[in-house]
Amino acid sequence: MNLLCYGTSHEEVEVELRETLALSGTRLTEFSSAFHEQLPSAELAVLSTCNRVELYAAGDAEYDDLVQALQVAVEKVIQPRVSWREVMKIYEDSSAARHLFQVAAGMKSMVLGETEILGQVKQTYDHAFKNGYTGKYLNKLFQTAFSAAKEIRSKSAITRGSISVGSVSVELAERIFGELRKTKVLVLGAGETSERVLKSLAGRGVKSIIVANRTYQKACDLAKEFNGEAVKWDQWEKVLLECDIIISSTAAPHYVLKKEDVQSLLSKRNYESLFIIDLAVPRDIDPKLSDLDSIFLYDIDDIQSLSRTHMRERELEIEKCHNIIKKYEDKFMIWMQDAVLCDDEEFRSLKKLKRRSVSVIDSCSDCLRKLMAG
Amino acid sequence: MVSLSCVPYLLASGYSCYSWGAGKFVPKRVNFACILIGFLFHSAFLVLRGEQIGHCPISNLFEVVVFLSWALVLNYLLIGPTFQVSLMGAFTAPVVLLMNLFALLIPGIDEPRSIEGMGWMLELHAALTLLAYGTLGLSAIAAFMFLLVRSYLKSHKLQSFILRMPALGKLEKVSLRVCLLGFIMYSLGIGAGFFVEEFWVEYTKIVWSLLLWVAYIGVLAGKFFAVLSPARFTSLNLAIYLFMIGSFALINQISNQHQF
Repeated sequence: MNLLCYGTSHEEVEVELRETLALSGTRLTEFSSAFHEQLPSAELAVLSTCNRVELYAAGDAEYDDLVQALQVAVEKVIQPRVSWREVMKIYEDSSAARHLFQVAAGMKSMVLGETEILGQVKQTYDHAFKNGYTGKYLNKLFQTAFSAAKEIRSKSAITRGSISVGSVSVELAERIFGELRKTKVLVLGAGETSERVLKSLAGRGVKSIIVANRTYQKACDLAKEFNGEAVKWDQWEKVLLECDIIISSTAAPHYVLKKEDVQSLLSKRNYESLFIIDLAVPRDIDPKLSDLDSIFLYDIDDIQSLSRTHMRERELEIEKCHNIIKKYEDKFMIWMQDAVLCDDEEFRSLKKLKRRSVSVIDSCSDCLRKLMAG
Repeated sequence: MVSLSCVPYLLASGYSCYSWGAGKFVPKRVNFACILIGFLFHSAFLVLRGEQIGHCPISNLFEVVVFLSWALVLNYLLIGPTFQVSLMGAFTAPVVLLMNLFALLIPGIDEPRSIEGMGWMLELHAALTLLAYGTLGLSAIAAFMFLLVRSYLKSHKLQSFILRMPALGKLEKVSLRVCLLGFIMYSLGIGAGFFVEEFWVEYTKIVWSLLLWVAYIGVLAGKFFAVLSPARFTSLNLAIYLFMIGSFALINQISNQHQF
């Protein structure tokens, strides 16, 4: 039995080639059929995400035959216009298993420790399993990968700490307010960066969103996208009183919000916490605001610095993750060797013979015992 | 029994410190279980001592400190799960451990002293007041946690242990609500004291208690009427409690007739 992973990822190729090789929908079904036409009994699972295209195959065929079958299927279904074979990597047996375990745990992701990949690996497996493309070996391989990823998530900090500007902002907001369902967000400047942060906050179910922009139409467009409300630029200070989070990313060359503007509002706001995310360069918010009680002001540098810290913390966990992966890899390889032996005709006959010999010895010893007893 | 109770409290404190130091998740269940076991030993001591002396075991400094730390644990066990802040155990366990160690290690404070005819009103007064100290202590712990998280968030540090702490808003809410509950119990405890005949024999402790009562009412009113920000409320709450605990032994020493 041979196990193989044949594929490429963001580590090897640019997105232009990756998108050419992407397999999903009908192309995936066609690819599987093309592969099984050549090797009907072989097992197959295709992991195709924006960052990687990996083909997992297991079968009695030789490695070269498996690779060739995959290559033929790729040529037949995808018909890539560019040279692609040299960028494909091959992992065999234990290294294939190790590779999948690392992929599922997010150790090979563009953003170390990201968790979305585990869902994508699960989808890959579900699709292959439901269509009958997997068998004993790939079923075990993927299930072991899920267990390894689960253990890595719970026993290491590789997935902890946010990395993107949006997720760091959400994390900070949750540290301040707890659940975000009751919070109101004010967006100053309908730029792309604030939209990304807003998307993350909206994903946590904030109560309401108000958008203010110098171009009112832009504010309306962004507000509509998030079921929010748009206000004219000269009116945003009126809604400041009831907001909990402010995201600011205007192109203004001066401070949009000064210490004096907020100081008088604090008691009117019952000293409720106000979380301000200043994503603009030059900054929109007077840094002196940070001196005020109940104000938590973070600019883009602060958020990026937190992101880098979290990334470093994740990197420190890699060794621990490798140890966990090694444990699962060994376990899987032992299982695979046993399973291959069990599948072997000669081994099965020997096992049967051993069982029969043991039963004959047992019955002989019983007879002897009875004779001795008289 | 008190020494035995220190073992699980020590385990809870040590394990929390180790977990935080190693950047691991603080195990709430392990902490809670350790504190619960400690509480059982703690309770057993108070029951046995109560049976031995024939009244509530609050007749000397040793008993009072042990009763006070027991009240703190009782409050944690009731309030922690109610407000889903079981993580407070990581802070409660070391405080309780220190209080018990103080009671055990200071020589000569456990001189048996049976108060003849203590009366149920005096017992109610003392027990309620000590329970209130426990409740206010838990509020002070929540206040400390609030100030700790706030200082990290203000200084833009987001260490992994801060990510495991309850949110700032929640800590403020817990500190306020528990403080209010403690204040009500404290008021009832002091109120019960007015019906005790021997209550008026010594004024030092009465003045001290009333001063603290006024301080708490001021802080709570400041919070309710939005004069105090959450940071000021929690700072004052913590400061008053530290003053209360710090001066407790001294005040009892001075008040010869109104001890414990």
